[in-house]
Amino acid sequence: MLRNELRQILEKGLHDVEADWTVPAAIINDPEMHDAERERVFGRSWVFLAHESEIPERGDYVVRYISEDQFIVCRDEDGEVRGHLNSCRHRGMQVCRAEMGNASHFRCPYHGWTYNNKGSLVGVPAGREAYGNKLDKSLWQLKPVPKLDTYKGLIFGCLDPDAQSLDDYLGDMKFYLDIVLDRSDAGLQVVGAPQRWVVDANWKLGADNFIGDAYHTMMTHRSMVELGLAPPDPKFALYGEHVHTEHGHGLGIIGPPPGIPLPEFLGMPENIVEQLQRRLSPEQVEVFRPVAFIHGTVFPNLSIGNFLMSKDHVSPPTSFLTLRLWHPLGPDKMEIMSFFLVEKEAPDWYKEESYQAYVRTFGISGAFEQDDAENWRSITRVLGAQYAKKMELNYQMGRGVYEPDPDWPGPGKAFPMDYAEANQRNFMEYWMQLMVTDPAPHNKNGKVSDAAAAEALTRAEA
Amino acid sequence: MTIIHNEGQDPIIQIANEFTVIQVSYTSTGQRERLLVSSPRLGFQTLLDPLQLESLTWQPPETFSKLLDTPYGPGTELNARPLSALLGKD
Repeated sequence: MLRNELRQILEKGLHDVEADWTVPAAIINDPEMHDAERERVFGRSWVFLAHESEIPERGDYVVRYISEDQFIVCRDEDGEVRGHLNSCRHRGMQVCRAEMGNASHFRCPYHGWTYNNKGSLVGVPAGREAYGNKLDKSLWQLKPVPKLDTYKGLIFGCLDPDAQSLDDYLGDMKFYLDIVLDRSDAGLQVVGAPQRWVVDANWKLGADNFIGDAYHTMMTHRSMVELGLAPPDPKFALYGEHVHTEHGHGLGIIGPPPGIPLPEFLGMPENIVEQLQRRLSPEQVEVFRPVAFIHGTVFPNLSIGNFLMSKDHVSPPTSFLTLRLWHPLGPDKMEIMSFFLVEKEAPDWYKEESYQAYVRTFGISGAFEQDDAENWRSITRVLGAQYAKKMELNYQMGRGVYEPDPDWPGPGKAFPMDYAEANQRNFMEYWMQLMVTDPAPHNKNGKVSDAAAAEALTRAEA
Repeated sequence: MTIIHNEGQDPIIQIANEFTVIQVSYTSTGQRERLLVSSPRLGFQTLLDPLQLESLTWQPPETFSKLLDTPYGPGTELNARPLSALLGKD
């Protein structure tokens, strides 16, 4: 149950985000809010775990997280992608302490219980003597991720066994994800291990920044403009489309500033352009053709950056694709995992240029990355204080300025410029809806009663 | 993978993961050629000839899971003996 004070803040927030276009500051850095968020947001949402190319071979695994729960995401000996809770069924010890590797079996270092990579318990030391061979191993397999599914190479997990399908959850966002994920016949590959670093900031600030905040580039990244690493027009991010869909997802799609010609299709290699024109729908091709920057967030904590940027002040811009995961470690701390992806069939020169452009801008020491992190740290510190927590944050950009764009060919609600905060409001509204919705009641068998769940949802929506 | 150069003999190939370390080397005595597979942590080793190695190539993953039924090695047939059985004896 939510404490009354939290519920009041959230219910007022839900009203205000629609009526006044404001959001309560208290949602950023509050320990109780964070505790509720773990169950109500991360306990119900589909959370990105890994890209299939990270585990290409049988036995490959990575350890990934949904809130505090850690899962071994692996390809089993039959080639199937699986997710197992990284916790021995005997005493709960981690059965896998490396963050990535290859193993046909996982062995608990505490007592030696051994599991195959399908999750089955296959070995118990002294099983004959200590258990009299009466331990039914089939009852003690590693706990699977309650729901696991993939979309175009992205592996997602969900802790709620009654959650809607991943396909439904992504909904209209798939139209835009395809533009990024499905451009080539052989697909994408993650290059290397993801870069990881911890920032003293709330995870929602990263999600908020990527889902719609083109506005900050003018100020936060001004030095990049002066160095020639970003377009000289400080309002370059204005010239785009601002789109959001159901379930809190959204993105900004930015085209070239007036008078500044940029290559079509992010300047991608010819063979990829040929393939994407064949693979994507005419509407998707039309949307992608003039693009220079795509920034977006799949609710809750997976963001996408597909940018055309120069690796230095003399090189021509090259596009790169990064996925980033804002993994919460507390109300005021997150681990950022940053993945670099490139089309498997892209020529080597492009892969190299693309990687360098990524590393120097949005890699761990990238100039853009550091600019952003400093803001998020400061916001988190300030909004953790008692007086600051009580204010409302302004999400009113675009109010009275624009109406939904009737000419946009893609799904979702689109606005005709990227200096807007509709995506951020959509994200925060969905987040607050999840927060005020109590967990569905369970019947005596531990199963959710459909009627009770529907009633809870109706209550929340009302 | 690590290659351990074994003075005067064939090198030893060592592979390891989070769970164990295993060493493989080639041995021959006259006409007999085998691979020596050993576990330095547990102290077991086996000499596998070509036919034995060949038979490994068609084993399903479940076979190896069965082999791990006793994760520290086969052990020996033991009957539990209480400490009380030792008490009061010289």
